[in-house]
Amino acid sequence: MSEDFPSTKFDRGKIFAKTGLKLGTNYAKRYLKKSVGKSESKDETREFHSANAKQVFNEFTKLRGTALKIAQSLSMDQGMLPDEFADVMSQAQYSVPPINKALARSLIKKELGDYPENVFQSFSSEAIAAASIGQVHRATLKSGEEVAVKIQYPNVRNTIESDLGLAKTLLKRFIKKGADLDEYFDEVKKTLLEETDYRQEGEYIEHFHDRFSDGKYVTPTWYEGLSTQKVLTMSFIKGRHLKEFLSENPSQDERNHFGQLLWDFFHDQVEQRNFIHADTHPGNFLFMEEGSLGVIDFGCVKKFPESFTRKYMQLLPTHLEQDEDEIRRLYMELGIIKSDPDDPKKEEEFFSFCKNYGNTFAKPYKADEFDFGDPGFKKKINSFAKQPPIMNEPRGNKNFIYSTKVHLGLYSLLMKLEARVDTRRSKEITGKVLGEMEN
Amino acid sequence: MEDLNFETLQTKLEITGIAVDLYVEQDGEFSLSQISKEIDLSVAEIFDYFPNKQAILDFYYTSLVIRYRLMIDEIEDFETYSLSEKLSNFVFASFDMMSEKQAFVEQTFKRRIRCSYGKKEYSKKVEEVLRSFFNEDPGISSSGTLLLNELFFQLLAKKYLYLVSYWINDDSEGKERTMELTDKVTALIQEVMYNSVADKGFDLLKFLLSNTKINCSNPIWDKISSKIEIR
Repeated sequence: MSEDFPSTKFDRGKIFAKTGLKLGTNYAKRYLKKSVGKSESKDETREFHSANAKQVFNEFTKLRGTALKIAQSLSMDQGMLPDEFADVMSQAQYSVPPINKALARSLIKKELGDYPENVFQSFSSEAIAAASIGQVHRATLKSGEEVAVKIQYPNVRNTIESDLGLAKTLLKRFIKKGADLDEYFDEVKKTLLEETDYRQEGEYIEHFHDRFSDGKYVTPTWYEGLSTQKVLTMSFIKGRHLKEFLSENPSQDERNHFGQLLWDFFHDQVEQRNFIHADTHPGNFLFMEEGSLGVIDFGCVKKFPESFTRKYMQLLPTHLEQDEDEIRRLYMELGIIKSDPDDPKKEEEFFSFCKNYGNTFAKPYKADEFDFGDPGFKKKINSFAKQPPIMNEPRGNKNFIYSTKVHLGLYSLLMKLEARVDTRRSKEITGKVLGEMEN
Repeated sequence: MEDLNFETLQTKLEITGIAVDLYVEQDGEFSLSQISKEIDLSVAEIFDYFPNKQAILDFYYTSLVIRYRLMIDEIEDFETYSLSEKLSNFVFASFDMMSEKQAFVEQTFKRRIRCSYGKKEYSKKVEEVLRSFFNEDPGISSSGTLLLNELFFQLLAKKYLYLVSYWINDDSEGKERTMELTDKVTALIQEVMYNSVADKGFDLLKFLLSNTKINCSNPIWDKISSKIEIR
């Protein structure tokens, strides 16, 4: 059962400390083993990380709320963690144990003024999805429409500040002394405050529904009258998640079809130069029977400043053209490399690493078609995420937190799908948008 | 109170609702004639339902449990609720009902219920509801059932009253702090009641005793032993 929602700073701090202590003990044991000369096989290393990952998962899912989000935003998405950790963190994004049925019922009464059986024609007390800050229930309106009702866990908004403080303390252990994390934390805080305001999410749902409701993509509609800051009612979209879809052994054509839709959805958003769905993970996309792509969860939506977007997008043609001077200039402007580094040799090594990473990232745009099922590509992308030469220093514009989340998330989905996508239109879009921004 | 027919209950609830509102509006003062004016009943007829004014006010609290019993009939899957969910549901529903007459509860709960002399009808009803949750729960371990005596339910009812006091004084947004406290308390109770560690211990003890030919014909042991057998 998941009854406990540790909401006080003490409770939540205790969980951080407990996790740290457990991991510390595990690392100490491993160190001891190594120091007495016992070597470790690859399998043993994997096992070691898996065991630790499970412990982290158990403790972090208890935290629910913002701590889980922070951990995901600041570690997993930056590829700093071993695969096993990234997997459990990603799992936690949409499979946290649900809260007690009575609590969910009472929250509905508190927010919507009456119990679910009186507000809805039917309401399933079992959550269909439980994530870091809320859980989703299926219901039917009195008018017969099928809806999804998202309920926010109690006190989540109040824990943002203390969770960020705890996460900062924890992160400072791994980060170079004196490195400034404030800019990144402010960005995460701003996003978390927005994500915990379901009225705001409702407005984003409407906004995206206006932009993407042509049948190629399906997005929900918002029921404003049945929504508050902590309860969100939206139309129900029926479809399979990636895992379910893949378990059906889809044909290559089916994989390519949905892969193309995911690729196009990203580039259509770029083309419109408007808000971007910034939570690209498997739980937020549905593979529908009729072939449409369902897009759900509009809590994390971003509109990047044009100055950042322009430079970020310029990275693509400069990498494709291998214009090293221009790449260096853009990296500097985006805060990836420093003009006056403490260690020039290490900085050059870092530049070279980023350039190679960028080249790999730009690869899908090189030809007219790209195969995300290519194991070499997957291996390369993953190895880049694991071996940056500078790991203990935050680098890059704060907007990278979410732009990489979108871009890496998309690549990760396409690699899991092993889809072949046609990239011709996306190249045209990129060129067109860059042209518009420069004029 | 369960023998009340629906019409009688409706009338009693109506009288109580009016009395409670008058109590709050008039600083603790109200008369039966004032109630009579608000409802289609004479003062004499009100006496058919309540012996005196205090009984009307006391019935407000007792009625919460009666209303709760009616309410759970409307929850389709209530039977699938775990022990902690049932307990939480009772507490949350009580808060919801009390918030309808919050001013009255704030003014009277401590004096009339928590610190009153003798056991009120309300406390007895609370104990009954709690007892029904435990008695009907198939997940309670054998050792857990040993705890289910009069004293346990009295203690549990006291904890419930404490939660209500906590709720009254809770100044957090939407009283969410009390919701969390309730969640934690009921989760702990479930954890204790479902835990089968003691069962395993008794099982081992039983094995050791029966295999070491120790005479164990004492009444306590027989009681424990029979519970384990039944389970």
